[in-house]
Amino acid sequence: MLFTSILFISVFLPLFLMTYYLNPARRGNAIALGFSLVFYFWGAPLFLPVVLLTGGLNYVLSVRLELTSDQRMRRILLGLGVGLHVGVLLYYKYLIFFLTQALALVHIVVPEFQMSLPHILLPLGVSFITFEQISYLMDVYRGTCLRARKLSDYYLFLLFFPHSIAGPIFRWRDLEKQIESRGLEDRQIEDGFIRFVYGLAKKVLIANYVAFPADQIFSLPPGEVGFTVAWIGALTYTLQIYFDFSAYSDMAIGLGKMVGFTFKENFLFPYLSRSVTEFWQRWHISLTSWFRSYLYIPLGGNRVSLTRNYLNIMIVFVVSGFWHGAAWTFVFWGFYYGVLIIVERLAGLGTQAEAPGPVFSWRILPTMLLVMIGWVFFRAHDLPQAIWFLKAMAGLSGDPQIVSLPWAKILPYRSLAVMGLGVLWLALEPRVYNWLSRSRMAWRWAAAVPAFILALASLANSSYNPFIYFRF
Amino acid sequence: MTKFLIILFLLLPLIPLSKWFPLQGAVVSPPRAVLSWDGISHGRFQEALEKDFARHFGAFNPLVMTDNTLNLALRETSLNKSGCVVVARGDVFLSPDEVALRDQRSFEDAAIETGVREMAKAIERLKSHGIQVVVLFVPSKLRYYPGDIPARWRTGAVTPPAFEAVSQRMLDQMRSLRIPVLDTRQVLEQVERETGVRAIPKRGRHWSNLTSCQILGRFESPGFTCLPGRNQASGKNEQDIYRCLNAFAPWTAPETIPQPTLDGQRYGRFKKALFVGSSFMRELETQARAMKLFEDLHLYYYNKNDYQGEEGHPIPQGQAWKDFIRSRDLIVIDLYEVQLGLMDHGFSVRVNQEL
Repeated sequence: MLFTSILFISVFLPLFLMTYYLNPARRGNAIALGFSLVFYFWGAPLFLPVVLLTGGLNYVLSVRLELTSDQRMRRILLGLGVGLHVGVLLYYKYLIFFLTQALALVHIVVPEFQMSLPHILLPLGVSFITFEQISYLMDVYRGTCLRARKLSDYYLFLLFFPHSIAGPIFRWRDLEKQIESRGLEDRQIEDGFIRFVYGLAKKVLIANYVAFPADQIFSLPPGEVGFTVAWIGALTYTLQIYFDFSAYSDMAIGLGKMVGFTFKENFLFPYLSRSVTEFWQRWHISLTSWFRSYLYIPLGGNRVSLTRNYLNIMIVFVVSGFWHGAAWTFVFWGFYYGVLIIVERLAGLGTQAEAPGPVFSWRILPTMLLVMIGWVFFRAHDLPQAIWFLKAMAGLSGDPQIVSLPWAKILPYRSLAVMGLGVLWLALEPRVYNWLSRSRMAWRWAAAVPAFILALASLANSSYNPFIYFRF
Repeated sequence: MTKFLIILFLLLPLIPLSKWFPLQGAVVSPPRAVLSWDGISHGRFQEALEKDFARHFGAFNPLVMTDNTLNLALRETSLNKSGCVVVARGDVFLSPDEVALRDQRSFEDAAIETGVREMAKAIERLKSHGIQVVVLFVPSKLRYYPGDIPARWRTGAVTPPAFEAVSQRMLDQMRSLRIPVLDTRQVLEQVERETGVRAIPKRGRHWSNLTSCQILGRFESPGFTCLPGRNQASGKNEQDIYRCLNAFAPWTAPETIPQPTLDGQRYGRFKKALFVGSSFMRELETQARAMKLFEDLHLYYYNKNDYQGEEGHPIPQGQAWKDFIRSRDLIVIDLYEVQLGLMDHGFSVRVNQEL
């Protein structure tokens, strides 16, 4: 059940909120966990026992870690836990990829070799849940937080439905106190609802419409992607991925607020970054900070030789790329960012994300350009497609005269209008956020109501596909 | 208070408003959610339930119309998920037709030759059973009125000669094999010459009732006449695409076009007819029924379902099918220009194999 499904918006969510608000606060966690279990079971019934089992084991390991002072035993316990979670992730997400690669190598030597690959379904949110489990265990191991007092609290941390399937990646230490006790004020509930509608509108009214041309263009054959078409494809995908992913985070943050949770921001105007270094401080912040805490620092971080430090950066970005998907395009995407970050460090060009908001500078444009190039690797079906697509963007391939799809199909007027709105939105988003958090209630609702109705209208229409003949 | 206002607001889509805003067009209902452990464990039950709910919640219809109205206001088109309706200068097209035309570039001569030979063989076989066969070449609206296609909807692929060559090669080969083919473009041109109005209405996908009538006249008895009557509001079938727009729009008043005058006589050169093909054959079938041209008329829609008026059921198999075919004295098959690759939907192959 996606946050953008009508069943979620008009049945699951009101039912959850009604149950939550009508019961005393002490039952809040139990209600949240109960609904989260239903939510997860709805999307991945067969994987729920795996999450409950691995989560239970992780909890037991954390209890053992707290009770043991023997460092060797503690390391063994940590290794067991991390090994278990990485194993689960490798099996569900990467086994097919590794087998396919191995099979391709075997085919070089024995071309007639045949092997049928197992059919493994990718469980909902497995990448996010795995990282949360590892972070919890490592934090308990390091002593940066106390273990969960109750298994149910730990399950709520893992499965709380606003974040369980697409992040943000929580850390126990950030939620520990909120799970224990949290307040709930009308203003916070309203803020949460407005944020949810804001995310819904970003996803349905912007991301879905720019996705249309992006999908069309990235499915064109090489000869039919000329300079202009390639740039429209790259731009629309750049917009789509931000408005889609950040919208999901907005909705998650909003849902959390509606029941008293305050989640950390996951996106802070990343397309207004002045360098790639800054971009990664603003994009998918919960993931970046996870990699910093649990991979980069354990590898030695920057307290090592310069060469080793650069190697650490490269490892982190390549692994981060691979985390996004089991394909060479993602690996290369990570490698690309590793190279860019190292180059920025060497040239002293890296900028830091500054509070409270982005700083407008000419450097935003070249950074955006580099980010757009990166998204081509992320979106392409394979590396050859990414390469010819980039060549088309450079004007080196593709015949601009040959377009098998009409322009109306590549870029419908509504997508064109939304594309313009999206670019404007990106530039004004810090002000929009500011306005949303400070303006009077009536104004906020005046913006939210039409956005909600239009988003619902678009969702409804996307499921209606009539034929002309009634009887056939 | 805020809490309950928000809950009420989330429940707004459930208000049953749809009955006041009926939607036009036919939809294939998604499979019903069947509660079973297997269905739940594989997510099929959940998926079906979500789809079902997404199609039937209270305010579904007015919301669909709101979005379509916005689409029309923004870019003069209405996008259905796959059946994209394009509106240009008051005219309408189905975009899948355009895509199909584009795909014909890969429709090779060998495929044309094989299909046409198969058809010629089938026609000979049917003739040996005393069955008259007529093949109709049906142009797409998009190709018949190429000047009406807005620039943004044009591609190199839908303009001659790349595309015309395919149809022409097929027609030439059919004539060389003496297949009785009627190029309905000639009828369309004649209708337009005689009446001064379009043979394919602006808001319809298919030819007008008058055009259907004229086409039927081409293979009916010589005494058959089909005259343009006075201008009347177009029939539902003549504004079928427009009805599917489903918008709050003031421009949905029906087009006024001449309807054929029907004298109610039975002509009877052929008694038992079978039409095989696309929705264009459905138009002919409806017109033929209105004119009482045949005693018994069936439509094999895409050679899959047998329609005899309103109700359809799968076409018969085995001996029942053979007996049925042998009982016909006229078979009309269409070759719809945007579906040339489908030829006659496998009808000839079946005749050659089974009859």
